[in-house]
Amino acid sequence: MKPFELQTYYEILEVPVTAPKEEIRAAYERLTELYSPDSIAVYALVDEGQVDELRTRLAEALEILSDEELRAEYDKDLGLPARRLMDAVSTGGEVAHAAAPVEERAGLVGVAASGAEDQTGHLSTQVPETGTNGRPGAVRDVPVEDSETAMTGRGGEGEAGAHATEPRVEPVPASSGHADFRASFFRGFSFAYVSSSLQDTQRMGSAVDVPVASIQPQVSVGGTGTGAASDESRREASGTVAAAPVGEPSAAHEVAAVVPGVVAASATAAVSPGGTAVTGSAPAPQVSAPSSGGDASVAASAAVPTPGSAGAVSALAPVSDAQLPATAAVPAPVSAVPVSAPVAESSASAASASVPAAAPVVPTQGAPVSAVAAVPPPAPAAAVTGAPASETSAAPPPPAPASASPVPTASQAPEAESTALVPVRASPATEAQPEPGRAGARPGRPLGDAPQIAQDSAIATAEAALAQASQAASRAREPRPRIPDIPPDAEFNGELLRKVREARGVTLQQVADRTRITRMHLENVEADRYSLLPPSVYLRGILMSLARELGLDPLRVSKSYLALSSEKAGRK
Amino acid sequence: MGGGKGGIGKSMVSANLGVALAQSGANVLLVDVDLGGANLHTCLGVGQPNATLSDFLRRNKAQLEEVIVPTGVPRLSLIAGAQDALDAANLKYAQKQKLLRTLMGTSADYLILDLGAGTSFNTIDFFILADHGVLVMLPEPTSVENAYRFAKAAFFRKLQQVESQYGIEDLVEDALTTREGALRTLHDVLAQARRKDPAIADRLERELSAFRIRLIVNQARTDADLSVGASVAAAWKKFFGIEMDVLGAIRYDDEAWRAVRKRKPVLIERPDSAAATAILGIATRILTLDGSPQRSTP
Repeated sequence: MKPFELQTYYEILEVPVTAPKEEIRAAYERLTELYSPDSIAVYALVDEGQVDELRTRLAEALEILSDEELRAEYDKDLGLPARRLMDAVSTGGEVAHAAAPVEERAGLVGVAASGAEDQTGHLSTQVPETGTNGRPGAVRDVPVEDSETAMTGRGGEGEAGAHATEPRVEPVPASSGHADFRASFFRGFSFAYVSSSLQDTQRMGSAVDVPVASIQPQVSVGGTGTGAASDESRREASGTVAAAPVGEPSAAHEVAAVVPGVVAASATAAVSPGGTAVTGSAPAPQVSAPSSGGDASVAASAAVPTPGSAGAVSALAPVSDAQLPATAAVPAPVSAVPVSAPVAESSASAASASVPAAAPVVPTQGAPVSAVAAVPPPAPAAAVTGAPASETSAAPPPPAPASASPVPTASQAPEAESTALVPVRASPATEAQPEPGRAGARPGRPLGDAPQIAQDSAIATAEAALAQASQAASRAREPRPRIPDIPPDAEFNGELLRKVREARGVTLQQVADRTRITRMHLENVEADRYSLLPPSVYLRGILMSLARELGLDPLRVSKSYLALSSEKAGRK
Repeated sequence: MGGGKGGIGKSMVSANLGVALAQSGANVLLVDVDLGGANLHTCLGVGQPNATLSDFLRRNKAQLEEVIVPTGVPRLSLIAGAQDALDAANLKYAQKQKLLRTLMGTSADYLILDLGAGTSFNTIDFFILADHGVLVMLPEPTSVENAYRFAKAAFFRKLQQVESQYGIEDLVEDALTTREGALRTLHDVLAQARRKDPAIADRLERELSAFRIRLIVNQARTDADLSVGASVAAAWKKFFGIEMDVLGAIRYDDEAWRAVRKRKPVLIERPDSAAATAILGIATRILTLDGSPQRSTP
C-alpha cells in the first residue's frame, strides 16, 4: 500500500527496474491510455486532480527513464546497481546468453565494467604516446570517467569480475606487448567485456583514426567459432568481413576472441595518431556488428570494413587471430541495436563514444545491419596504420569506455564533444543522431561519404526499431480512437498534431479545458505560427501537455516541434 | 454479490453462478438479501414463494430451514427475499445480526448473497462478510462510479468494524466523514495508525488486504469492454494499493435477456451461449481460488 505519490518511477510505470527502454515506453503508452481523462477506469475513482497528478508522474517517469543519463542518475539515487549493460545484454537476447554461459548477465556487466577500467587505463597510457592526436587530455579524462562509471555501475561481479580484473592488469602492459594483451583476452570473456573494448576502440578511433576494419572482423568472428572468427577477422581485413559473420553466438570463447580484435583495433587507433587515419571510426562499426549477435549483423559489419584499408585490416587481423578466443559475440549483442545510430556518429569522429551508448538502447532489433553501415567509415582510416595497429594491439586497452558508457554519466556527454570518446553517452538513439553533426564538424578530420552513409543507415535502423516499438504500443491501446499511423521519423508540426487531435475526436476547446492551455496558443501551435508562440521554455510545457493529452510521447513531440520552430526562427 | 448500481445483473449473475456451482457438485444456497427489491426467485423460475426471508426475520423462533425452498436444480436451494412486507428493506440491527449469524451457520458449501443496490450498511455488512466480495459492474461510467463507491464504502465499513480492536476509532471517524472522492485517506489512516503503533498498523494493513474484492464485468459489448475489469483493478491498485481480482467478463448476450424473459437461468436455458460460458468460467475460477469447495459467500 503505497500511494502513487511515493512510488518510484519504476513502480509508477509498473515495470521492473531492469526494463529495457521499449518496455518502458510501452508501459507508458498503456498507462496513459488507462489514466486518460476519458478512461472509464478512473471515472469517479478519485479526484480529477489526482489523476492529473498521476499522469504528470507518468510523464516524468518516462522522461527520466528513457534518458540513459537521467536514468542512471535516478538509479543511483534509488541505490540500484547500474544496469545499463544488463539491459543491453538482455536485449541482445541470444547473444548475451551465448556469451554469458558461465556467468549471469550481472556478472557480465561486472566484467564489462572492469574491462572498461582496464581499457581506460590503456587509453590513458596510450594517449600520451599519441599526443599527436591533439586532444590527449580529453581522451584521458574520458577514460577515467568511464572507468568510474563502470565501477559504480557494476553491481554483479563474480567470475566475470575476476576475469575483468585479469584483463585489466594485462591490458596495461598490453601497450607494451601484444602477447600479454592477447593472453588476457583469451580467457573467455563476456560480451560486456568485448563491447566495452569495442566502444573504446571506437573512441580511440575517433581520436586517433585507427583502422576500423580490423574491429569489424572481430565482430563477425564472434558469431562463428573461434577458428572461424579468426578467419573472419582476416577477411574483414580484406574487406570480406561482412560475409563471414554468420556467427553462432554459442561460443563464448569465440566472443572473447572478437574482443581481442577490438582491442587490437583500439591499439591501432592509438598508434595511428600520427596517421590521423579514419580507422578510429571503424571500431564503432564493430560495435554494431556485435549487436546483431551472431546473425545479420555480421554482414553489416562486413560492409563497413570494406571501406578500404584492407592493409590496415590485415595487420589487425593477426591480432584478432590470436585473441579470437576471447568473446566476439557478446559485445555485439549489447550494443548492436542502439549502436546503429551511434555508430554513425562515431564514424564521423568523436561520436564513437556515443555510439556505444546508443547501441544499448536500440538493441534488439534488426538494427544490426544499420550498424554495419555505420562501420564503413572506419575502413578508410584503416589503411593508415595496419602495422601499427598490430603493434599496439597489446595496448588496445580498449574500450573499456564502452562498458562505461552504459552507465552513462552526465559527465561523459560533455566529453564527447571534446573527443571521439565523447559520444559514449549519447546512448539514446535520438541523442545520437544529433551528435553526428558534431562529429562532422570536427576539424582536420577527413570525412568521407562513408561516414555520412553510415549515419544515415544508422538513423534508419534506429527509426525502424522505434517504429516497431510504437507499433507494439499502438497495438496495446484499444479503447481510444486510433490515431493515424505516425512514421517514426515524423516531424510533429502543427498539422500532424491537429490530425492526431482530430483522430482522437477531441475539439480544441476540450483540449484547452483539460490542459488549461489557452485556446489561442493551441491554435497557433496547430497553425505553426511560431512567431506568435510564447518563448520556447513555455512552449515546451505547452507541447508536453498537449502531447500527453493526445497520448503522444511528450518528449518526442516537444523536441520535434521545438526543432521546427527554432529552425524557422533561425531562417528569419 | 454487490455492485452499487441497480440493473447491472447482480441477480442474474447470482442465480447463474449458483447454478454453475451446484452443477459442479457443491451445495449452494442462494439468499436474496435485496430486501425490498427481491427478485432472485424470478431469475430462477421459482414461482412466488410461500416462505421468505421476512418470515424468518419476523418470527422469533423461526428456523432458517423453514424458509429454504428448492429451485429445481440439484443441490441449489433458495431463500427468497422479502416481498410481502413493505418495511422489509429497513432491517433492524438485531434482525441483521440474527440473519448474519444464522447464515454463517448454514451447512451449504457456497452461500451466495444477492445484495441490493446502494451502499447502505445493510448491504455493505453482508458484502464484507463474504470470502469473495463479488462486485458486478457494467463497462459504463455510471456503473463504474457506483462500483468504486461501493468498494470504498465496503473498505471503510471494514475499517469501522475493526476499529475498536485497534484503537483507531478517531481516525476512522475522520476518514468516514471526509468526502467520498478521498479514499486515499486509507493511506492516511494507516499512516496515522502506524505513528501510534506500527504493529497494529501492520495487522490492520494485513486485514484490509486480506479482504479481496472480485470483479465481474457484465454486459461487455466490445473487446475493449472485456478489459475494463483489468483496467479498473489496475487503477484501484494504483491509487489505493489494494488488490482486486478480476473473475471475468460476461459478454452482452441476447440469450441471457431471453432467458430472463422466460424466467429461467441462461445456464439452464442455453448452456452453450456466450453468457453461460462466461459464467461457467467464473465459477471455475472461484472453485480454483478456494481449492476445494468450502462455504463462502460471494
